[in-house]
Amino acid sequence: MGILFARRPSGLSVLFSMVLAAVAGVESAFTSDFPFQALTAPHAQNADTVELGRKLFNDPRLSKTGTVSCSSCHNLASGGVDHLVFSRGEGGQIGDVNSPTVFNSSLNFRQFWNGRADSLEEQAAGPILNPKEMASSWDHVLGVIAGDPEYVRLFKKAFGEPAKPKLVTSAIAIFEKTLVTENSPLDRYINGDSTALTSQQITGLKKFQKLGCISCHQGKGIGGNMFQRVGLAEDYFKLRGGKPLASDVGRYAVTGREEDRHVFKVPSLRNVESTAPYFHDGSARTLEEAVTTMARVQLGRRLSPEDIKVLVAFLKSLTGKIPATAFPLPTRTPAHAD
Amino acid sequence: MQTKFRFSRLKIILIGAALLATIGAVMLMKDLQNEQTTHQATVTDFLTARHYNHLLNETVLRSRTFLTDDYDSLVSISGDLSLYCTEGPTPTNPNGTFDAGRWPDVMNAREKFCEALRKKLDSVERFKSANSILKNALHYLPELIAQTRDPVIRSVSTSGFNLLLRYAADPMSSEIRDEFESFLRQTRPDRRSVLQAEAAMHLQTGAKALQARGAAEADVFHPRVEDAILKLQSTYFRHDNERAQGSSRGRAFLVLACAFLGLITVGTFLKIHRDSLLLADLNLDLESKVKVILAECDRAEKANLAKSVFLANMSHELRTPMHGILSFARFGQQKIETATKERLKSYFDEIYESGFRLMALLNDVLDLSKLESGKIEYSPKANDLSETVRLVTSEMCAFSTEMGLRVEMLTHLPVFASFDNMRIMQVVRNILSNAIKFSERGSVVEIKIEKIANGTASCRVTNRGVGIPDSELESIFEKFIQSSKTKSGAGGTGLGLAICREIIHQHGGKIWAESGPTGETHFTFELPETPVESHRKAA
Repeated sequence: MGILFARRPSGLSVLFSMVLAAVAGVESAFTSDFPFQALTAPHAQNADTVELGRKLFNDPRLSKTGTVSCSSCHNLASGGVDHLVFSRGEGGQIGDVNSPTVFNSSLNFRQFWNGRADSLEEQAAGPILNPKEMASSWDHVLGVIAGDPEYVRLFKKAFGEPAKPKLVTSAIAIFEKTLVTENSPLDRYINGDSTALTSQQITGLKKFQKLGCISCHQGKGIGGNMFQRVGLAEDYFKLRGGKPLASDVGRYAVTGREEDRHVFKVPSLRNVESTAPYFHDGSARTLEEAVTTMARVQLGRRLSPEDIKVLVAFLKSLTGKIPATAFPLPTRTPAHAD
Repeated sequence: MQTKFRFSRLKIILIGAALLATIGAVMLMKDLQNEQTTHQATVTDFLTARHYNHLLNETVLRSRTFLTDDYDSLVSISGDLSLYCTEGPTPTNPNGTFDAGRWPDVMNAREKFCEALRKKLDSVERFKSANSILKNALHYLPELIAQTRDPVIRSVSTSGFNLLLRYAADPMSSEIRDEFESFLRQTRPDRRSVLQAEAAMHLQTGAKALQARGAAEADVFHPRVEDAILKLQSTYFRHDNERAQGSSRGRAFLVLACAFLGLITVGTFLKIHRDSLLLADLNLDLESKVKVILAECDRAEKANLAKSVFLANMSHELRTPMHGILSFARFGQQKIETATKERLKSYFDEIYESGFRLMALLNDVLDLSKLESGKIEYSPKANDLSETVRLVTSEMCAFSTEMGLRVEMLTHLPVFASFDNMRIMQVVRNILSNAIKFSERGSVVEIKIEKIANGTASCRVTNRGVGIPDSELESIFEKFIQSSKTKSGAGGTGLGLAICREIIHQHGGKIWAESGPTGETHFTFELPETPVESHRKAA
């Protein structure tokens, strides 16, 4: 059947559909095929493995000097981020990118801003071994684990064998898979509760679609399922100013292709209200800033304040409930709170 | 019997061959089924992979033609397809174990598949990117047209939009592309109209995105992934087919060989069976022959023993009269001067007596020997048995009178039979003399001669005397056997009846003794009317 469809559909049908879309109003084309999906409960994971993953996630001893844990930068208590422009790593080193949130990260089709990790397991190893972040090594991590009888017990219980790198990342990933924030107002609205969104938010939703934000921020994660270049309509980096950062090249660092320059993974907008600052370089401090910039560089639009207001209101409706598995939260505060 | 046997043998062979063929067929089917099951598993896997590939293509197309953003499903299908790089089916043997021999080929094919898939998924990403940009442009332009009141911008935007649409419909057309590009050149951003500039920008962006999308699409629909899956599939199945072919050929051959062997085996067994039956028959034959020979041996032994006994007896019998002769002769020699004439005469009498006895014994022995060796020549003629008996009776008249007996013939009618006169006279003489010897004084010896069934002549001599105990009726006909009731000194060698029996048997007749109800003894012999060449009958 793929062979059949290899032939381009006739111009007439394309024309017809486009005219229909244009004339009938973009709204109908969208609402009949709603681009968002409500979050569903994640797959139930083994309770022992989740407990182990949480312990590892919150454990700063895994870093070189025992000061940086996963939750130092992806703080479960504060929206899964550390609210810093760039995170602080081992020894106070400043990182290259803004920390994305760990909540709903399982919905992302790749991990990291440049999509270099295919899975959560792959991503979990990154910060551990990154000299700027946890500056650790597997030997050190396994040593810490072996030295803690609680870890030994948990590993035996969860996997039936002693710890090794694959199992450590597996446990962390399984824990992260449970961090799905359900029951956001949008989700409730999608599931039929017409009172879940305020009228402002509904206007914002419509605007979101009309403007075309929907073309990249769509799907279950409201983003997170494609790569896109930043600065389609206008040069983002010029607009931003400042020194070029290492992370500015985007996916080019991974593929080495010119067409991947400034291409990033489209971030998920879920819980965006609580993950300031925004963009890979943390250059947008507020949602209003982010929305304005995005509209300008991606859509080539200058939004009116009213538009911005309703869009931001809509974006705030994407905040879901913190799942029970995130608890207990770490009792220690992150090492480098701002 | 022979035909029946042959038919059943054929039936057995056919049944045997059919059975073996069935077993072979079942084995073959089972093996093929095993391979079939392995087949089925891998076919389904590859069908699924190809299905995902098609699904990916379709979803891409749907994203393009209906401008829906089904990127989540694109991601999900891509993920499913990618699993075949890491979790594809491994080659297995029919018995389910990992087939290491095929693994390198399969790995190669799988790597090529993964490479092709990587390229495809990359193109899908580029498609997504370009598609979303194009969609923005296409949505922005109508918005702009709707918003603006400026007729120039309106018309420009409309024509631009239309051109873009046409270009979108036919991105490969160089005419439209040229037209579009010239249009774009005309609508260069103008400081006076921001909207116009925006419109132009969107048109350009849209056009670029369209091109990029077209290129990405072409790569997405490149058949390399489908080809790679088919190649991977064939890598599995080529070996399976080869093995299945080889094995099914091999197994067919095996079945045929088994059937052939089976036929041979069945035939061999049947032959063995038949041979064993034959052997049993021969065995029985042999056994009976051996029995006969053993019996002969037995008899030969008995004869030997009898001869030894005979010799032993004979030597005694011979010696006794010899002693008599010698001792009386010596007496005579010694006492020739002194003994009286009467005394000397008694010595000579004794010598004569012993000599006579010795002569009789020797005659009898010789006779019997001759009879037994079959060297006697008979001249059987039709003779009158009555006459023969009368002759013998008158011969023994003096003897019978001496013993105070009377010998009486009950019938005088002639009875003809075929016999050797001399020999039968011998027989009658013997029997009669026995009868006389063993009769009570004053009794009568009766002889009855008659013709009985088949023209057989029968002669019966009856006497009253001490009789013969029932237990000895048979044995008296044995050599040297005399009745236990024999008075000591009654004389006789014990061979008489044996000789009689021999003679009678050689005439083909019968002879026997029996006791009557009132204590009399009957001796009867029968002679056939015509001579019968009969071998010595068993005793």
